[in-house]
Amino acid sequence: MKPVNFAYQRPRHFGEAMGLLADGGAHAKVLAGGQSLGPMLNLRLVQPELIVDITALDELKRAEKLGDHLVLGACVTHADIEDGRVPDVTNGAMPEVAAGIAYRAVRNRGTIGGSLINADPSADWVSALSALGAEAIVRRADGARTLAVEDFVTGALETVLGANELLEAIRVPAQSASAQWGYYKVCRKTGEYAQAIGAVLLDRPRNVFRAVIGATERKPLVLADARALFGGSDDLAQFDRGAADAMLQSIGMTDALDRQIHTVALARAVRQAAGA
Amino acid sequence: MTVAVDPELGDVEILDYVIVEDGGRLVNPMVVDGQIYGGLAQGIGTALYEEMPFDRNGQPLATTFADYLLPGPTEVPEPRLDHIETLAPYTEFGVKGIGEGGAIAPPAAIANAVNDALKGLGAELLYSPITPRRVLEAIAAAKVQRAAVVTRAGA
Repeated sequence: MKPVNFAYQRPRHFGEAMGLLADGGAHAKVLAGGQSLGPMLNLRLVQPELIVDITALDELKRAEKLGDHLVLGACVTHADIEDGRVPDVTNGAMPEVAAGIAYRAVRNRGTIGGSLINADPSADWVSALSALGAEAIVRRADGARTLAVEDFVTGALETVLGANELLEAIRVPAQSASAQWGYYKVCRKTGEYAQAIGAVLLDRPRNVFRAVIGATERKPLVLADARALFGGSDDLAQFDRGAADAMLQSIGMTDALDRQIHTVALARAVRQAAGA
Repeated sequence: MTVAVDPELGDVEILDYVIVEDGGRLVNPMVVDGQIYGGLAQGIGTALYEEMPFDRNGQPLATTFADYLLPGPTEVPEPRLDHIETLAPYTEFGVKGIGEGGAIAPPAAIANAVNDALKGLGAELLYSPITPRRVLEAIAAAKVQRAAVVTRAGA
């Protein structure tokens, strides 16, 4: 199928983009790379009257280290991260996640911000950025707000983003050199969306121990304190599959095999983090 | 044919694939190999990916290629090929048809290899495509069956 007719604008200035979005209201849609929006338009799942292409906004392509954080503009592409064209503060975790997204043609155009606002539960960044403890910086005409990625994504394909707001950047905390990270994605085949995602970050010097189970058909299960999955300890060897299974049951995952692949994904991420 | 099966996730990976066809006189060997490669890809699709399910109301559930999976370059291994040339007595030059053979064997060959890999767990799959879900269901069913046998033996 082909999309229904729509108007297309590619503003050069941030203010112009915000103005277009304010005028367009519910009939305007932001395009940040189009790797999800493109197919959705073609399938007529979305039928906007106006597409605002934000990829010409330089502010959204910036990447800078500010203190102990890295700020990545929403329009930084997966390939920018994969290829190291932007700095990395995660000991290689983010480039590795980026390299595993879909396939190269998608990574060339797909952006970190676009992926996050699409909030597909099976998408990599939704889970990985939650596990990394990243934050979303949301701009509107009269100011900005910053919130944790796990609070930014409220459900499958749902975020807190209001009609007059734009996701401006992602803020990623720098990891210590000794941080341990594991990320495991279960896919039917290369390039497909995930069936299950497990991610774990243990960064003792920063007192961070986070775990995420993603691709659950809802927002990812994020544990800001993962010790409950490790018998109350921060020992990666103590991973308790039963505890993970119980948590998945508690969020309504009734299918035992579904719980199994999600638990296995996390178990393998943990094993990776432990360096075993 | 050798496969690896991940018993925790149900994934099947093809490790080695050998194909021997009898195409009679091979008029253009390169084209014959091409037919075999293509047939293998199609057969892997039948064996592991392609399915057109319907819901109870008859609505097709695989209406886009996001739902109807096809093998891509990373799912099709490079097979080892060999040829037998037994000349057909009824055709000019002794040629035989080679176009379809490649697609027919993979579902049986792959299913048998998967079942061989799962033999130790007592699991067996009788339907294609062999999806991870079906592999896990077969393993789970075999577990229940073994538990029942153990209970009977104990009682």
